[in-house]
Amino acid sequence: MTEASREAIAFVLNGDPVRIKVATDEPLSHTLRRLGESTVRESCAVGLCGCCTALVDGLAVSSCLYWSILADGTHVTTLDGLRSDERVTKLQESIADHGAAQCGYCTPGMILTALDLFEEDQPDTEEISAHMNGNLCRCACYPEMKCAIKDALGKAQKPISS
Amino acid sequence: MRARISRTDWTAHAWNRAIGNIRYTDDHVPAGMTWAVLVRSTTAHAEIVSIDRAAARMVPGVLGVFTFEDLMTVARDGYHGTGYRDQPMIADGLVRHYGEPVAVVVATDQRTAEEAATLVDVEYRRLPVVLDDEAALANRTPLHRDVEPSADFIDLKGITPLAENPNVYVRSILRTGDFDEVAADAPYVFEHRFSTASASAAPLETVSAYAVPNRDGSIEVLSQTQMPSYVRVQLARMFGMSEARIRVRHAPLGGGFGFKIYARTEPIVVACALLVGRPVGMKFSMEEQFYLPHRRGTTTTIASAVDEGGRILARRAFIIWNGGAYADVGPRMVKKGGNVAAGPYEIPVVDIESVGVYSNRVPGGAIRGFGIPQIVWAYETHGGMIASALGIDPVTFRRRNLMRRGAIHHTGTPLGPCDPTMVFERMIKELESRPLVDPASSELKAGRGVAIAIKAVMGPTTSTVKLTLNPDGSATLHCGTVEMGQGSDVSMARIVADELNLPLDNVKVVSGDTDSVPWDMGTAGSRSTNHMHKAIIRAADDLRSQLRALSQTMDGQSPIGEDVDPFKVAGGVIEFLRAGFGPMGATLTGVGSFTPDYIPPDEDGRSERITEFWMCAATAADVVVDALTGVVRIDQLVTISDVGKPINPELVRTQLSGASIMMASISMAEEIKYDSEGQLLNPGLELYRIFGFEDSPRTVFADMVRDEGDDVPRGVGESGTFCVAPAIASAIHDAVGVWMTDLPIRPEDVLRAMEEAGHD
Repeated sequence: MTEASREAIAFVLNGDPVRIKVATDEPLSHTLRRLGESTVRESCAVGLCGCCTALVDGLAVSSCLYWSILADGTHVTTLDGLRSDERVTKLQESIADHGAAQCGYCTPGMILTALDLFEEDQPDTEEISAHMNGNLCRCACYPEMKCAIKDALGKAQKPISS
Repeated sequence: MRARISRTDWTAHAWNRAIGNIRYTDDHVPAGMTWAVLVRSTTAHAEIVSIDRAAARMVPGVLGVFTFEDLMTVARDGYHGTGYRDQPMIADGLVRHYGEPVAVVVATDQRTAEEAATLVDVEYRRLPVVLDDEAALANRTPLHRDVEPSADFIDLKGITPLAENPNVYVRSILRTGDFDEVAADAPYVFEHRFSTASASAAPLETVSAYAVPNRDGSIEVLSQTQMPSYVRVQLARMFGMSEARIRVRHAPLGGGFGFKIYARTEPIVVACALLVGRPVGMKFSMEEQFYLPHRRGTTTTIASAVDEGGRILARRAFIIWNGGAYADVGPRMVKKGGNVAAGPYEIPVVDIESVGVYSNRVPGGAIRGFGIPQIVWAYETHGGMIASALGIDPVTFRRRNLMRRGAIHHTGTPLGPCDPTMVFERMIKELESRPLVDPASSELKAGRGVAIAIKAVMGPTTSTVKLTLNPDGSATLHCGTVEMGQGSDVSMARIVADELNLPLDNVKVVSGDTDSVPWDMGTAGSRSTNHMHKAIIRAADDLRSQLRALSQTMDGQSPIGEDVDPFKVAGGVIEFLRAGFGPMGATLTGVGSFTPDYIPPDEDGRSERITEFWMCAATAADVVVDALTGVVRIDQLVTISDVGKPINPELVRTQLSGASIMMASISMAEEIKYDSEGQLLNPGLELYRIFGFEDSPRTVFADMVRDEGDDVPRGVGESGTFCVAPAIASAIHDAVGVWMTDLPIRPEDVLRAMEEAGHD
């Protein structure tokens, strides 16, 4: 049996530089978990559920399908890195007020995926659904989440550039 | 804008999840963990001839490769199961379903364990495979021999497999008269057959369990479980240890849905931890979760004798529950499902036979609704078919037959405050303001359907709480209800706050550790809030008595009387504590427990007290059917449920709504498929699709209704699932005139049915 070779990579995680050895076939979700990122959660492991969503250079990715070695030299952001982001705060407030999280396992991934919607010009409910369709929720908080996102977008006075 | 840091009202539930403030089980992995990976069978039924472990053992980092015999060197009893002790921790020489664990590899890291597991070479001698419901019933070769009843539950006492067919591990009867006698004289007799497929709960937080052996021989377990108390009891029994030396901890669950009940994974990690003398954890992938118990498939034949006006005179049902390789929760489901198989209708004669059968499928478990949705699928679609055959509209048909306030159920147990007519009428009223969508295309046909159901809560089980007053008068509740998304932590806090007259932020709810939290049977079957509510009231009464006694020690003041609630005396609690314990006060702990009364049924299945309470829910579905493709889009779901007193109405609505969408997914998209050899074909979310945002109905409405004066909370989590499938089927019939009788409802089946019915 051959053990996968390991390689040291360096990237900026939520603003702080990190250096870590990873297997060359290690998914970013595993690396982020090893680094203590508890809001990154692997579930389906095939890029369908969105629980492991992270931002790589600002782009939302399914980190279970994103090789860690490709994150070398990037900026990786998780929900914990966006505590002072006004869009995130608005979404969090709105999710709470709408009861848009039941078990909450998928919620951080939902928030990260929803951020792109702030760039759009007042998307309607169908556009929100289409954008969010890659994030699954087994508790099925879909109606509440759609309302929560719509309200949060409405409360954003103007589109905020990331 | 500055975020509110903390919330204590109902919005705290989603708030804590949105800010990432919830740590799930896998965020608490104990230090020094080693990892167990299961070697799973590649056949559905076989004798294990040999297990060659040599190559796997050679892999650096592997700490052990264990078979059932190895696990038995540290276990006293290697079998578990709630009805029967029929399930070995891992296969005991015989494989009874595809994907059954046959060996377990423990290594220093998960990847090494996974790689070594692929090197374990198992030789099988294949045996005939039995998969389908009727084949399983007809099979006369026993899949198990001499199964032992577990006697864990009073309502399962004395169960025994049928002597003439041991594959029928339980048969339940409910009989109030002779169906044939009534049918012989009835103007109409209708009989239909319905089926449901197996489905997986597929919680997104995939199952894990961790065991840490302490040097003093005690064991700590961290597990995703809805039943920590039960897990401890089973581990103590299986490993011959005192419960005092087993600690079971858990975190909030990332979804439970009845999937994380009983002791299925914990015994394996405990055995491995005892064998290697190190902490051992096991984390299942989504794909592996599909080898844990499923929502069991059913075949139901149901017949009704009906008069010209559509009144049901008698009803007969025969239900086969395909239980898979091990009985698991099957015996209870067979009984409870059978008991309500005539529906919430006044029917003079019911005759129900409900059987659980072994097969070579993955074991049947429970998912949200505990078998009731399978039963409701049959009797409500059957009812719709009768109404349409008689030319009676489906609402009128139900109105003519529904049980009313004060009704006695067919079992002989009163419905109490549960009133199906009230629930149904509330739903019909709601529909008045919700017109059916206009599909605006001649190929798209819109239709509306309704359904209603009742369920009895889980069998008689106990909840116990410890309620502690802190020196400043705030309170800490130790309560075994497992938070899994339903909002129980905020609900329990609310119950305590109301009872002790405290603001919400002066109440702390502690759960998650059997070392400090007293017994609770589990968070399942819609039992928890009701039973805990009653236990909390008793604990509060205990505190009241103790405070009254303390008030007698106060200098110069008269003690408070029996008619005064010490929690309503301004500043009283602190004063009483100081009077009793000195200037800093002290804690005062009250205890309360609740166990429902229960009378076992007679030989006809009847009892005046078969359940603590009933739940009732009604659902209406609006669908749009594409007549060219058979694709059904659910436009609207309206669910009304009688949940008794809602503790947090907002959370109740989200539970009902989520349950109805989950059930819509199971009804329309989900089916666990097997090939003819019993290999499971679609484990994991690539091939087993669940509803996402775009599948979700355009509108979902959920609300509750209750009898005036009904101030006791009843079940919530399951009610939203009961009626979804038959409401959809009824809506499809309304739209395109065909009846679907098998779940899930696939586009090709709708199209075929339309073609057979002569549609273009």
